[in-house]
Amino acid sequence: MPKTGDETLLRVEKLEVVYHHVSTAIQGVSFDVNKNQIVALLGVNGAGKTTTLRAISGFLGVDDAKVTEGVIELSGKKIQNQAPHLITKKGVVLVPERDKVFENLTVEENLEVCVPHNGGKAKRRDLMDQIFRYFPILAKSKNRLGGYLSGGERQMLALATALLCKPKLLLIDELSQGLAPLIVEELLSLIKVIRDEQEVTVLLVEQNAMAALAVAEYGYIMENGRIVFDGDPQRLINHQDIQEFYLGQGERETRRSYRDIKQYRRSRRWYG
Amino acid sequence: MAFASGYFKTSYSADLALVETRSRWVCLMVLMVGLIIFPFMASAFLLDIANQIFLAFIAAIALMLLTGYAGLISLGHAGLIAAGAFTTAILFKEINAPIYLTLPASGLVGAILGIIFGLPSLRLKGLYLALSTLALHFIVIYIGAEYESTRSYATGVIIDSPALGPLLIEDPRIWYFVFFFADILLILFAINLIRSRTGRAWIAIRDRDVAAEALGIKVARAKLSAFVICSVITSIAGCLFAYYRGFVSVEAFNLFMTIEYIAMIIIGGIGTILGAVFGTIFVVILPYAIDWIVDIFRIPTRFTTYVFAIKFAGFGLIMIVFLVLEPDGLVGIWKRLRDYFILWPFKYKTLGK
Amino acid sequence: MQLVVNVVQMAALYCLICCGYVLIYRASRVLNLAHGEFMAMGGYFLFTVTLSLISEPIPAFIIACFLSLVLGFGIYFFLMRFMAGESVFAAVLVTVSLGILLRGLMTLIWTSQSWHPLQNMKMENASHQLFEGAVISTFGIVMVASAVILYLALFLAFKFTRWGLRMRAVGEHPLLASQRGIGLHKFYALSWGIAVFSGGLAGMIQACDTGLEPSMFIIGLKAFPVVLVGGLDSLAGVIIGAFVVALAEILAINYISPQASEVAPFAVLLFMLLIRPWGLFGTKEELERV
Repeated sequence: MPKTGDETLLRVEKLEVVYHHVSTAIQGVSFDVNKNQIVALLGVNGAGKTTTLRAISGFLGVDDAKVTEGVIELSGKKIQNQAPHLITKKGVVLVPERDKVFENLTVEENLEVCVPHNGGKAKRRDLMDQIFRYFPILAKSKNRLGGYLSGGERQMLALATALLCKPKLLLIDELSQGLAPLIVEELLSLIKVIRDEQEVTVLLVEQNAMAALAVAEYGYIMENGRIVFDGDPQRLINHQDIQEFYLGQGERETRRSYRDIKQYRRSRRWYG
Repeated sequence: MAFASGYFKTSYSADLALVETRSRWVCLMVLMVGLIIFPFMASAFLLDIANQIFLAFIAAIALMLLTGYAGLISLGHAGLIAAGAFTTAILFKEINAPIYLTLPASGLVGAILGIIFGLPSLRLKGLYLALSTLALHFIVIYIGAEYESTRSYATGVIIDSPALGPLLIEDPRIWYFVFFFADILLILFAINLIRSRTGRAWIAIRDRDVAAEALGIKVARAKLSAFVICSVITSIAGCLFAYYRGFVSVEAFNLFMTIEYIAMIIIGGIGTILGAVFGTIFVVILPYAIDWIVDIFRIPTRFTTYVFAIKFAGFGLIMIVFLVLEPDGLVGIWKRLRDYFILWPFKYKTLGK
Repeated sequence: MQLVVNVVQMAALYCLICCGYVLIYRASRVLNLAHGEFMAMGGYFLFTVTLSLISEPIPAFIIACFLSLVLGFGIYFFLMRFMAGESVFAAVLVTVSLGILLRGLMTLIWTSQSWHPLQNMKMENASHQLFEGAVISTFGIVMVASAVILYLALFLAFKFTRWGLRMRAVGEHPLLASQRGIGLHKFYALSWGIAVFSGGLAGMIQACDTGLEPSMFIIGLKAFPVVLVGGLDSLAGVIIGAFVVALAEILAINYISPQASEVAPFAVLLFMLLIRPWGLFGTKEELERV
């Protein structure tokens, strides 16, 4: 369990999400995120991580999905199945996996578009200054169209716009996708800095387990729509199964033959 | 298709069969017998309605193939019918052509129009085809109007009834069987088309055209084929329309006619032949139903001028209700009803269609 | 010279109407096929207001414009809001049905005879002399002036105000805008409101200029080629498109026949589809996904 004694910001209990009234995407998902923590949600494609994020941020309706069971509580108040922009106002901001920036608006316009929550021009300017300190590249390309930015710059812009919404809980979907390893490292350590200075709680969804566990303080592994393992990074990294399935460190020194692979596949899954 | 239990297909021929179980064959036979006896027992009024339904069905099923299966919007349906009708009229008046000539000629004109107006919008979004077909409508109407005015048929072109050899197709009962036969041919054609490679290509394109292209389906060619097939059938319907009415004039082919056909497939249920059937029946009967209601409530005659407007407004309202609340149309309602009874006392929802 | 004046006036009419098409398309990727009927509604609003409320022209116009604005909000709130997540196809069909419904209602309420709001306002549509013997009617001038003012206002708003920026963001990526805290329904309703308002305004001025007839909605259909020429999502394109189509139409009336004025815009549309479907200023990416 996460550090005891700390205040729980997000509590998800026995969450179940069903798509199109027929297919269950996630079931029985329960986890906690404490204030100012960085928590990682790991797993392969199709495990249900993005669905979980969407359920928390309220964007399920787009794909005709619904939370059919369970609760999502933000600081004790239920937020499941609410309108998305209301959830954003409560401080839950999502950095999505695809389409993270407005491509036909300039960088400056992208940053302006966000809705300020606690008015005051001075505060907003302070926040902007801080953001330009974290992402100096954005200051240099103020007038470039969002669509012409490189992958790393786009991710930075996406993070910057998310931060401008003054989030209490930042949900980041697949930060590392399509980015060079060096940039991923840079971004992840930036997130640690942002967490320290801005007092945001971060929930990271990642396929790149190694990189995520380097910054996270706690991790959950999802598979086939359920959480199958959790622990702090040390425990996760040292676990044999995790090493084999997610960190790519197999036991076998010799080459595998096809006869062995069938065996391998069978033991690979906890569920189904 | 939901079955209560215990129905399994055990051979290829069973899988390919058009009618699946014996009880369905029986129902179908009963229906056929009923339809064949109908013209001999019904009044002239009902016979005319039946003829209208069967005739409208031809164009409706063409639109259903285009919109429900290939997923393309066409706003030029009335224009295509007009094209067929005017081709017939022009050929009849100018060279006294028999039906053997006008029918294929209408089809050919439909194909040409389909190619001209379909080609530009192939690689584009569906909305562009909609605009292109709107242009088709206005251009065809213009040509028709020009013909009428240059040949001074101010009130329209009168056409004689067609003759198939010794048989003069004039009596409504004979028309009934002509349409009946045409409809059955068309339904068989449609079912087989949907099962064929072309039909599957259309469904693939409707759902995910990028993936379809990646799988090797030539999207542009498939879309064009869908539009051309639709226009050929619709123009032929126009030719029959001209012969049945005996009279062709530009005013009959307005946008409301296009909207009627779109309503037929929407209210009936997009993407199924049964939907086209239900929809056609509904749309053709609706004005008569409104008339009947007006009669029953003895609304005084001075309000009859309003009846047309009520039909208009009622039509729009019903379409909106169906679009917002029941996207699967009458077929959706029918399926839910049928599933409820078949599956009773179980209540699970079936997946997909 | 008269030709030029006619073209300018007709282009102004198209500009006012097509502004609505572009706004709604940008907001919800839907072609509002009921816009012609909205235009006619504007004219009928003006007629009713001048008949029963006020017959002074300026207040009457203001009230009728306000009614159109409310109609736009109402249509979004009570109908189009539910189609927000559905396929574009279904939404377009809903607008088609809405058009039919409105046409039926209009005939029910106002019957199908022609009205002249101008008579109620006891005004005359005087002709004014311009240079080289060309004439333009009072309301022709009003039409051109309104179009110019509206477009200037919209350009400035979109470029320089935060609301305009948000409207652009909503048009581009509604999902992302929602994730950044922008309330989508607000901006969609605003788009519809302004669209119906501008269409209604066009209808009102046209009603004063040439009379109010139920067949007015055809002008809405003829306006489609304008947005195609200019690009479905470009306001600047509308201006160019309006001139092109107006030119084609006026030339057709003068040199071919009056009936040809109905076909000319569509011939232009077909031509544009063949050579440059995304219009002169539209974004090409619009074509990608069907």
